[in-house]
Amino acid sequence: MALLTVEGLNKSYPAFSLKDVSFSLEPGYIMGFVGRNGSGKTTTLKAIMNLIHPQSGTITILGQDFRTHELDLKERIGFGLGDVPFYPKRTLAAITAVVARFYTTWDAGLYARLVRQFGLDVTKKVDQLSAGMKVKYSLALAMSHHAQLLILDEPTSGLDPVSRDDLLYMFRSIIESGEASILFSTHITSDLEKCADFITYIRDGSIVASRDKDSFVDAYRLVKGPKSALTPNLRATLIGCRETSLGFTGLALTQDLPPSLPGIIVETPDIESVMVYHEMTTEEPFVYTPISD
Amino acid sequence: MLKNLVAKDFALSLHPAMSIWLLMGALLLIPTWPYYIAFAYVFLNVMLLYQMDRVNQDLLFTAMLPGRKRDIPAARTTTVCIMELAFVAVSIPFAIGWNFLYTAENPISMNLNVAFYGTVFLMYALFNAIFLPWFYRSLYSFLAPLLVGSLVPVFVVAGLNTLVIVVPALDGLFNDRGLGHLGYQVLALGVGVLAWLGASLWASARSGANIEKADL
Repeated sequence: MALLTVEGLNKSYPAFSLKDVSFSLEPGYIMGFVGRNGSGKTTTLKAIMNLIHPQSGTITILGQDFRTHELDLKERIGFGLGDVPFYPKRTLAAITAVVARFYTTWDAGLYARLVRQFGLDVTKKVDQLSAGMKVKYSLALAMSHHAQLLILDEPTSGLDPVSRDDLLYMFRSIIESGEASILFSTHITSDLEKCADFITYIRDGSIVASRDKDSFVDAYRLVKGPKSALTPNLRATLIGCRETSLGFTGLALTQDLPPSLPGIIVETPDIESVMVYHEMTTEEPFVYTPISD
Repeated sequence: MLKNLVAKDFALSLHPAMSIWLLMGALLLIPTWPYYIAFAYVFLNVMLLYQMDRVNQDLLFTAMLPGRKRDIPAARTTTVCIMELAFVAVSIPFAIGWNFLYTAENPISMNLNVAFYGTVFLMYALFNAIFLPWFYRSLYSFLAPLLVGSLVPVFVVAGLNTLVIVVPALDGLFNDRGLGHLGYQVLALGVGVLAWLGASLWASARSGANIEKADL
């Protein structure tokens, strides 16, 4: 049974819409929720947590409808919203004392361990923390009640490379038992390369793909070659293409490419390339003109 | 769950300095005055509470905690009711003191008797019924709900107080400082308290329905 199933989520704002967002996450896996800024990642995560009211769609957690079992299911979810400064003038100890009351499974020992591991000073006020420490505190709160599902919005943004690596390693140990899963949004694709099992890619409010990491990148090919090799037929198959004076690099669906392309290098892309070439605009390149005498 | 949310309000949302407004009960020691004004200072406290909520991102913080979304306004209604009761409780010794200190009738509004407190509860009933559902419909704008929610009850209760002192029959029954018409005055208090309880329960339910449709 899937730990989390999102089906047909639709939400319209004047300038942005979530369009038929659907994906699911099995227990024991990490899913990276990737997309550029403003693509709908946070809106989707908020809709999952019933913080916003979608026009249609269902959220099922452990086989139960989230809206009808909101109270029970929220106890089994750890939700972290990046470095949002809740109660900036209150100490971590004061906030934790309040949060702990809400969870029957709150583990003070685990919280104390996380506080030590993250180097948090609980006598500090929230606004005295750096962006990275705010993220760590938010994670400590989200993890200290043994949640089965961790939903984290941009948990690695603002963290230094060592802390980020530690955190990603911790993510792997959380899911080791096979019972817990993590859904985390990010635009740092190297995090996904390191620890995600599944990738869900959202673009302009629509899901482009939601599948395991290997098949996600395998569905695409990066093609490179001299300009002369960029025939109209090949150009039509490319999702995105960057041309320079030396040649071109483009992204295509593996299934759309012919079996052989003479004079062209065909490679498996990384996640970042898939995202970057998908997001390329068709607008004219920006020309910058500095003041001259 | 409601208990935890109310405890959260007292631990994080309410600032200890806000209790200073309770001392406005001392205004009841002024010899003649529209005394219902002293009870309207609780609306300033509510304004400060919601202003601090905005700074602290309280709605988002609270909605992420285990609980149903509609529990948020239910808990907040309880907190506001506790604040209103605290204003009433702190004012009672001052009201008793006024009755001992002054023998003359109050020409501006009702005397500080049992029936007067009925009008105070009616003022709070109107405030809760107007402000809370309105705020939880818009969520991020509290100034208009607070202004209308504060001014309408004050004007209604001002009108009621004036009616009582200018209509001799009402003045005799509800503005009496002795124990002669205590039964009627207790009835007036009971009506006020019931209106307050009913309005608060309605406001809580209505606010719950409103927040379910709102985006945080």
